[in-house]
Amino acid sequence: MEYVSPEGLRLDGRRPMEMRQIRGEIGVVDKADGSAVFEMGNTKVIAAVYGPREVPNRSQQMNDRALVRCEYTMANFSTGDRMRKPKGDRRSTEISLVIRQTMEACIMTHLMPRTQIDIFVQVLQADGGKSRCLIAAIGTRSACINAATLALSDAGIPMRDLVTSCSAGYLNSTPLLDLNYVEDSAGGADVTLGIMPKLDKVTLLQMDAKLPLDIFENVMQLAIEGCKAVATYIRQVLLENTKQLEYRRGT
Amino acid sequence: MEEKPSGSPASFIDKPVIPGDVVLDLSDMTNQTIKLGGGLRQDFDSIVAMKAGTLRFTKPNKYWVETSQKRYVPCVGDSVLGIVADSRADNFLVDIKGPTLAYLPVLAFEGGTRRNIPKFEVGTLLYVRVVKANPGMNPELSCTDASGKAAEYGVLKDGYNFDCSTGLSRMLLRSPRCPVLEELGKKISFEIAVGLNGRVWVNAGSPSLIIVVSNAIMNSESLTGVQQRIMVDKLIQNLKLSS
Amino acid sequence: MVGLSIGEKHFIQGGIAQDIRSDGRKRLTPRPINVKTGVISQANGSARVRMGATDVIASVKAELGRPTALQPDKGKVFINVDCSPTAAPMFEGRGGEELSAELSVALRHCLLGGKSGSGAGIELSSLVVVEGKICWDLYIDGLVVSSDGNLLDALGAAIKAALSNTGIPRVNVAAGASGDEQPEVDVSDEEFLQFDTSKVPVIVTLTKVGKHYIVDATSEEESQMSSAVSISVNRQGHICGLTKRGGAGLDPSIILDMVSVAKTVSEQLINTLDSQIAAAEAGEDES
Repeated sequence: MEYVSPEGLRLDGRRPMEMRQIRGEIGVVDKADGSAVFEMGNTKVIAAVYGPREVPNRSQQMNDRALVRCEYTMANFSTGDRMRKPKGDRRSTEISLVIRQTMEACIMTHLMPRTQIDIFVQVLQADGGKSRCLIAAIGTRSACINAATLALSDAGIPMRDLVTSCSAGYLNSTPLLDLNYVEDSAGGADVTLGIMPKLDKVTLLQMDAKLPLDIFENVMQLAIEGCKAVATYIRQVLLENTKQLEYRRGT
Repeated sequence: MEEKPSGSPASFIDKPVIPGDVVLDLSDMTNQTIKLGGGLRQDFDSIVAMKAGTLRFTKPNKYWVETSQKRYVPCVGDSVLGIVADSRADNFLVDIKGPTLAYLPVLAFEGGTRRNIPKFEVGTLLYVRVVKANPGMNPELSCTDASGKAAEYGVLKDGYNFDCSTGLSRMLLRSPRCPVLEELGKKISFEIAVGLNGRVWVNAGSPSLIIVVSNAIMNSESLTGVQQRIMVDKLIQNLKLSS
Repeated sequence: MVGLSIGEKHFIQGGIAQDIRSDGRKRLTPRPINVKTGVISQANGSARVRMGATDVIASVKAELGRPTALQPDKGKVFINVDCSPTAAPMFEGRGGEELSAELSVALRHCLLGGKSGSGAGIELSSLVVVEGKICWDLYIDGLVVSSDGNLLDALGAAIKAALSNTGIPRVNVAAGASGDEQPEVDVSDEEFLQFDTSKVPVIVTLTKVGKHYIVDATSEEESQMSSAVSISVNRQGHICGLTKRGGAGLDPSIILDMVSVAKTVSEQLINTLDSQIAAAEAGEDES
């Protein structure tokens, strides 16, 4: 199948280096300490952060740093096919783990010993047409991480840097930025990357399928560019938010 | 990403920053001592923000990031409003919206001795001062000022308390007084206690006055000074009409 | 979390007794309601309803299925509610299941009517395509995103809004199938039938605090409640369902009083909701 037309356009009309529309908003859940919505194309994710708070389960308490936990849930209606078994399946446990490890890398956990930080990520909508839920879940990783970054920052949790994430792939001998569902399920290589943009460090890197090394370099470079673009956007959202508070206070 | 390798601190002061922003470069600031407040950390030769907020500077050398959050990070010297959650032999456990419950020693009252230990029910609202705040330990509170006097600390009876962001409570405590309190104070007599932990207590002659005052305060967070004055004017008018 | 202070509790209770609540409302004034339709693009219909800090999403998905042997002339409707952990850390893992189940059951009581399917707020017979062979199964999913009390009313409103946003594809049945054969169907991609929601009731929950009852309680007020009665009322003023929640017992005469109050409150609610839905639909068409 042709994923890039001779004119250089993808199935959804984007250029190979173009991202889907992204949108982020802070403070959507009133009761949470920090919360955010993040949309990438059709994928829409809510993240809520509770904490740092006391560890309810004393046996998990750590005396030298904070315990970071993450739970990923997909709404029943988030995929094309109605899901029958939403909670606690292996796929969501795996994604929870990926998000947790990625976010833990940027949270300064040693500043908040004996506390717990909960990150809850709720997928409202996954890009995936009329599809199986499994692949759709994988495609939401980047959006989840971006939402979690915004929510953590809203909660005022000390962080080394932001973490932003984006994916890139390789189809029809073209590196493609920010794969949508159709491209994701085409079976080509898919690199999901999370970086800390200011420190220039990679915190998440996952790839399936095989790629020659030199092409991998290109694809990864593209993903890094994507992450940086997301970072610029997230930066803007956060700055805007601070500015608004400033302005209102009339200082 | 726009990199700003400028070392001059003036460029970032009173500007919004986000986690990861390098706000100061120490390498060209030798022979200077600076003090770092909340939200900043040192990473070799650079000072990096770790919270989203506004960078502030006071003379001679203090830097910090001003933020507005729902949760409170205990800090020595802050006056806060706490709710008694439990009592032990030596301490009351008090919720101050921080990451952990705070300890209020039963002797930390003016003239406190073993014989006159105050009795607080669970749910009592207290105006207290943070005296110890070490990471990894529960913060410690006191119901006296630094000289051991009760000052204005102690139990707050009746009235109504609500939670707000830490930014709002800082705004309420700022001098010159913030417009909403000034305008309300001209027309209505009420008592108010503001905790830096984002908790506010209001008491007035009648419940409807308390509600007017507390809702005016809660709404003022999203308004500018002028808008605050207009809002209060409208509220007062409505009150006069209805009474 | 640590609960309310004593002063706050007294204030809420005393205020309600004096017909004034901590956000300035009277006992029977609901919070402003905000409706957005078509929020989930993959669903046949969806809506997001916000009342104060309570935020819920409802989606409707239609699938072709077979009617049950007992009711060959009726379609099927399934209602399921989930509480997202984003709303409260309590709902983490399996923690939200109990509340989810309670809300789902209450919604079924209030919207679906008896076992025979009669008296249901949702017209089940309109869902049949070929009697005894094909019908539409409606899967209604609710999700609590943020919770500040009165979840049931918000979910009820969201479901009503989602149903009015629902387009069910027109189905052409190939003629000629006879007997036990399953007829072939052709589901249209372009033609959609609007769902008739005029009979879908709204839910009004009256929460009893002290001697009085209030509508649209916030979570602080709910923490002081003794019991609550949820009543679903349709446009004609008929009671479609009723559930009592909460521990304390209620005097039967009070229940009757509550029902009549709910009826008057529901009239306003239906009107505001209808105008909100109409506005939301119009806004969606424009964009």
